[in-house]
Amino acid sequence: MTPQSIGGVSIVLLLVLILLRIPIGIALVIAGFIGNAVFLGFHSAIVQFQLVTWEVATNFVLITLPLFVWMGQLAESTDMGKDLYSSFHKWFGRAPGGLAITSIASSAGFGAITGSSVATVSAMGNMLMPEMKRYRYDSGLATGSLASAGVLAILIPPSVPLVFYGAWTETSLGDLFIAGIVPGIMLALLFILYVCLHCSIKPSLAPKGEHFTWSAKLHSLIHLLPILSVMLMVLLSLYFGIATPTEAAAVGVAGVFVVGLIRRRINLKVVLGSISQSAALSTNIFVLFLGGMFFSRFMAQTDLTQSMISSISALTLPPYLIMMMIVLMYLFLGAILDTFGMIILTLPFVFPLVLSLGFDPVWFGIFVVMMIELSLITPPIGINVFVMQSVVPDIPLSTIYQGSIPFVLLTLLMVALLIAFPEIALWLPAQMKSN
Amino acid sequence: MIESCLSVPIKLLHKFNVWVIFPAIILVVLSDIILRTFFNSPLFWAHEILGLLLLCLFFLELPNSFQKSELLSVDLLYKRFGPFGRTFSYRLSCLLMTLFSLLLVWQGSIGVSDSLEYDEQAFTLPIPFWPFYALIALSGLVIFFQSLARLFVSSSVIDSVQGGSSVAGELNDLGAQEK
Repeated sequence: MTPQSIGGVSIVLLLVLILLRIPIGIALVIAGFIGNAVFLGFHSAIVQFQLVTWEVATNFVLITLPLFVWMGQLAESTDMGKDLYSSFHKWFGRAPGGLAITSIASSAGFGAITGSSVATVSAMGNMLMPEMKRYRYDSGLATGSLASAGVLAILIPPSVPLVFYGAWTETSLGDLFIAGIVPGIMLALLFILYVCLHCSIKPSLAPKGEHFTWSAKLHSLIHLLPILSVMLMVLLSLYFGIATPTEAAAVGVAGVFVVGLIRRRINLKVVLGSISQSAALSTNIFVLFLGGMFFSRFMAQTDLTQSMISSISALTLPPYLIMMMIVLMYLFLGAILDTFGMIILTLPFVFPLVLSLGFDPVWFGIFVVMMIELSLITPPIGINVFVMQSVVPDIPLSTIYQGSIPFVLLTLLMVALLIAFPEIALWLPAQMKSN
Repeated sequence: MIESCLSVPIKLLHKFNVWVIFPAIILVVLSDIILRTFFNSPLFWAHEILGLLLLCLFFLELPNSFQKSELLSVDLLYKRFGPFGRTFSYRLSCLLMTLFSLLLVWQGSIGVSDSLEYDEQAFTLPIPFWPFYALIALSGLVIFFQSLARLFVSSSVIDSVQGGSSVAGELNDLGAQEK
């Protein structure tokens, strides 16, 4: 057997194992180990595994992961989303589709602290859905906007998928985080604009909300200040190069902790519970990372990745056509795999290909995260939609999916804009470096 | 029986993580930032020690993740499987987990013997590496017994122990949090 065919058989084995519901990280290790043992021999396979395990487990870049995960868990446990909601509601409540706009703005803000879309949809859904029901919002618009707004959480930094991508591809985490800001804000504004226009044309979809006095609106900003300060502390320390991503994560954790203490929402139980969840989540991601790295090294040894890149390059297809194919591939994979599964299974092949086409690794990181966002709100997996339904079990899944369609199209529009104008993602990191 | 016996050491490992390792990571990161920013004297050993603490965090937590079936998996086809398919998938999963754990034990043991033989230690502080390799082997050993115990459960209990960080698993977790 040629090295490439051993690599090919290992990929088939891997896919079969994953479809048989073997944990993805374990499937990667086993497929990689069998492939390595056939290709290099049993002893070399063990040595390879030992090297990769040590290298991944002691990878300093990964320290950012438990820190940001903990920051998110703490923010969630201390009800920071509530502050965002109550403030944005007072400001946007009377606008056309005011509660839907509130959900988008609050999700973007909450995502900037938690970095988790599931946590965002769950927190915002539980807070906003009763209100939306009270004002007789259209079910599709209400659930669709909430489920879709959750995707902003993984684009606006800090973002756990971006940490994963950065550690995997050895791309600067600081650049990746900063690159996510403009596309994240643009997407949030696109969502808000759509809701505003749609509800202006069809006001019956979203009856107007309560009126608040200017004093109440201004007073609500006081509750917003602590969260805004934590967000700005993290982002500005990264932007001005004052802190590395690890330090920014630690600053964020300290910030959320202090805010929680001031608001008297932190106690030992909350701290230990959030640490426990963060350790578990980080370990899950570690297993994926370990398996992915081991399998990826094996693929590189078989030369399969390189020959695939050579074959595609030999076709002399325009780079943008290849990018379109990659978009379609991610849309398909999004239907069967989860966030990290998508990243780990595609990067070993797609990342070198994209680099060989001359695309920027930072830009590609944002592109990948946007494709992941789509998978969170499209069938059949659409985890955000499932979470939304767990919040409102009386609304059918199909209604939530239908409500998400306009947001899926807007996200696709944003992907197209990102491909056509890479500066959307790259402008801010360039400014940061010139500073 | 084996699983219930193992649950005590697994809980202890998890608690050690929550009470000692995780806070230690936070403490080292914050101390390093404060010392570097305000006193211009960073902890020269911080990077290396943080790497080793991270290793402890992952391998102390791994048996707990396995026990709670939290490792990420795809259940798209699994939901369409009949009882035979589900049992097959479950047993295969346990079997491969057993293999994975043996790989951890094996490479951990090799690591212990090599690092003892060549006196491998951290560059910045005289901390030997062999306890960390031993931790990998220990974690593997615990998972080995866990997966072995699960491999031989009767088919009737398989459905009740299925969890997983699939969509269903995550929703269960959310439900548990809300409760």
